[in-house]
Amino acid sequence: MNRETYLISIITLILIGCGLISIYSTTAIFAEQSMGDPFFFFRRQLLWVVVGSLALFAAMRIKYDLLRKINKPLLVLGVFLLVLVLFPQFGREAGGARRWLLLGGFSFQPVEIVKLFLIVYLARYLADKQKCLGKLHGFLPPVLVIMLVGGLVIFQPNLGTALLLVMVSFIMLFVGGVKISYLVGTAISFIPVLYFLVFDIAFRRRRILAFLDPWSDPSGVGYQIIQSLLALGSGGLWGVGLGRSQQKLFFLPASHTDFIFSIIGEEIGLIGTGAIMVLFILFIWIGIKIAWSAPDLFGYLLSIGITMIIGLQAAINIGVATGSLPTMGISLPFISFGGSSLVTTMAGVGLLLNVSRSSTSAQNQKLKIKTC
Amino acid sequence: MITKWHRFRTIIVLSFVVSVFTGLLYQLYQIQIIRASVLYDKAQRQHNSKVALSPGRGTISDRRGKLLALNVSVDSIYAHPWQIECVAETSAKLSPLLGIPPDEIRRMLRSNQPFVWLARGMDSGKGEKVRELNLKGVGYLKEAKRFYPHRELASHILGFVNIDEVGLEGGEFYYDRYLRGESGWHYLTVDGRGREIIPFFAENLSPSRGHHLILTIDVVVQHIVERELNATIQRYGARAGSIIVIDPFSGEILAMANYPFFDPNQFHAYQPQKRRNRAITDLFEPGSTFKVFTAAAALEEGAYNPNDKIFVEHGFYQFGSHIISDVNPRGWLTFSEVVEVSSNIGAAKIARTLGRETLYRYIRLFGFGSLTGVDFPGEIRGILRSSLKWSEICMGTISFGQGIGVTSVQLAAATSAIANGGVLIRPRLAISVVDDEGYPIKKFSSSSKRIISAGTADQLTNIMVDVVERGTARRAAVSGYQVAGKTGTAQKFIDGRFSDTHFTLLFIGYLPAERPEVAIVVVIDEPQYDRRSGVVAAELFQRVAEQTMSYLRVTGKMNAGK
Repeated sequence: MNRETYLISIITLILIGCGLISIYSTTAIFAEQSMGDPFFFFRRQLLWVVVGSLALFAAMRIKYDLLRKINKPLLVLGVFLLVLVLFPQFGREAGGARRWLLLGGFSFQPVEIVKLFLIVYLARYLADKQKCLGKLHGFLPPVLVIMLVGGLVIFQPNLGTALLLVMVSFIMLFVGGVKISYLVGTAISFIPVLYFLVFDIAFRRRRILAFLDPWSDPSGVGYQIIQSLLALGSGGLWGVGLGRSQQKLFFLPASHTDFIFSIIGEEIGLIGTGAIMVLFILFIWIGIKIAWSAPDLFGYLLSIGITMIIGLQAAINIGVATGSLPTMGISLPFISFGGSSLVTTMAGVGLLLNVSRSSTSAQNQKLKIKTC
Repeated sequence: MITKWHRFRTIIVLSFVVSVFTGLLYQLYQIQIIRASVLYDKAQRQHNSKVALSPGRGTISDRRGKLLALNVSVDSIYAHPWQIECVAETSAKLSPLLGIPPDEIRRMLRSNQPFVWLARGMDSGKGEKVRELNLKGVGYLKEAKRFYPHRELASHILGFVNIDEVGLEGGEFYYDRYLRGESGWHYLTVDGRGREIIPFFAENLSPSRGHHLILTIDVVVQHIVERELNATIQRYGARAGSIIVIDPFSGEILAMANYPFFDPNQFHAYQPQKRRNRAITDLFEPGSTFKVFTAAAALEEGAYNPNDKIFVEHGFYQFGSHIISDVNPRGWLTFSEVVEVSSNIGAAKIARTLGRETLYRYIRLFGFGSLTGVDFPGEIRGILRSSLKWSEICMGTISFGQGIGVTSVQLAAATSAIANGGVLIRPRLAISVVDDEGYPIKKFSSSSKRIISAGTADQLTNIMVDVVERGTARRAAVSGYQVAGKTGTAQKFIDGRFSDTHFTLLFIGYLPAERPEVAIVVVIDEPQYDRRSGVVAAELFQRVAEQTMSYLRVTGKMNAGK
């Protein structure tokens, strides 16, 4: 086991541990009151950690070449699930959005698994089509795939995740070597669409307005952002003490999912939030180091994609919690409560470890090549 | 193949991500360090609320320790609306028990407040019955409720409190800061749904009980006064009336009663005018009682001796442009007899001799036209125009009590000044404030000021004794005592002229004349029978004085309660 494998495992373990503690802290009182069991959410998340660990090991062990080969079937499966979830017969609606598929008593969000499938597809495509990326016929297919997936996700509606997917995809296209003029042109042509999507839909426009001036309507649109800021601010440098958050007591909505970072900030202060941010920065750093020593371009781009989707998702979540970005409904990887996200993120870590492991064996091959 | 271009572009992406994270860390620094205290305060404000804990109001008792106002335990029913499972059922069950229509209970239960009172001050035991209904979200608290055991007795002096035991009127209002004590606070930590949660540090500020007020009032004297006042009012069909019984040496008011009465336990049921302490807040013309003060000025100035002769013009006297008349026309009278037979002409002639400035100065010295400083809210000054504005006739009529407005308490203070040998003393309703163990927190005393010499006061007493023994106030005589007194009848000034049908009947007096124990002021407003007879007020004085003296003799005079 090389150093990167070791470090990334440690970081993953610490973050998941933080997540479990925070989930227990934020949900215990609510769970006690409504289910009579303070460990209800903790236990469920623990179960997902076990499932996630299996996914991690599976992703780590899967043959690199096999992954390459099945990238298209995976993408098709992903698109199929995204279509399926839109149908009321299959998709479960919650909070005005159809994001969950029911599967044998458990519900999961297909978009989470699609994140990985799209990254694998893009990594494979970009690695294989290096020569024609400078031309339109080489550039268009992945863009169309991204638009299809993004469009389906927006349809749920889940604009935040769609934006995350598009951003990570563009980073992969950029790193993969697509002409910058193509990327800029595409980005510019997307601006009107984005404008329409944001400002023509009432609840998103409210979110933007709340983001711009939350204090104008503290009990209405600004409520969640303000409660998040109050939580973070109450924590100060050292926090009010683990378990002692008051904002989690029904003041801050989604305190165990999208806004868990704010409760961490309240309970263990800037020390805690800073530490978590440092862990994510380290994660990105090591992820890119893994890419650096990847055996081939597919592994390189795969590592970049996975690192970026986890890193950017964390950045967006923290950006929302600190009021730097409008509310988007994006969870904090490893930490927020939620099975689909955790399992997929852990599977992503597994793929990263897979690349990292392969690099060790590839180094030997490189030596061989040099001698030829 | 991984080329240097891939790595170069990766570095661009990495620097982008690192700068994003740096920006976020800066944001966190701003929120958690720079703005932390502001945000913390805001958060605390929404987490914490507080509920006042009633401190238990101090009692009010009379000079002998009889309780006039105390607290009784009552049950107050409350609800946590968010806990109610079935509003309709809950209100239906509570309605008959609380005596509130179900609709109203339903409305209260639908409130979005975390806590609502359904009924406060219910009889003790009601709460237990409510609890037996076993309704979720409904409970009761033991509260203290003000109770006035003697009901109407001394009600105007005591005043009353609101549901939160805050003094609104009377002594309850004036001495509220001693009686109310320090409110305690129960600090609540609430969650986002407004429900109370057990805080980590329960900080409660215990209430400290209020102090007790001891009044100068003597319940027995007060009772005598109220009974006799009521009897006279009923007998003569009067509109209103007041009596003050005061210790002329200490200024302590032994009794102060007003008709109409009210019950402070149900003060809401009475119109505000019935709750007024008329003896302090209402003015009237003092009529002939005022001749005593005109005489005081003349004697103190040395302008007359009691035996000096004054010609009273056989009943008609041209005074400036007006005619002053006497009811009983006479020729020559001595100075004393002017007061004894209550001659208006004599009084006007005395005033003319004195001059308006001197008369005005003495009127002010006796405290008319200014506040007596009695410890009660809402005292008025009465009406006394400056002597510069007096016309000739005005000076003449003021000498016998027309054209001036005074209060009962002003008359009581001025009468006391003659009774006690010439010292004006501040009338007072409170003796002291004591704590739970009876240890005095504050003792009250009255300021005093000499206004006429003891010799002048003695001469006035002799004249007033003659008034009762030989003059117009023979009905005020009390067997076994020498009584000093003076009657008065004032025409009420109604619709711009002095009425021939509406009168105020007055009596001022004190006894025993040689060493007075009590001074008494009686005011009867608008009697329907015997409308202008000084006898009505004199008789009332007599009954009050006689019973008060026999009571004070039995109980060892004024020493009790000191």
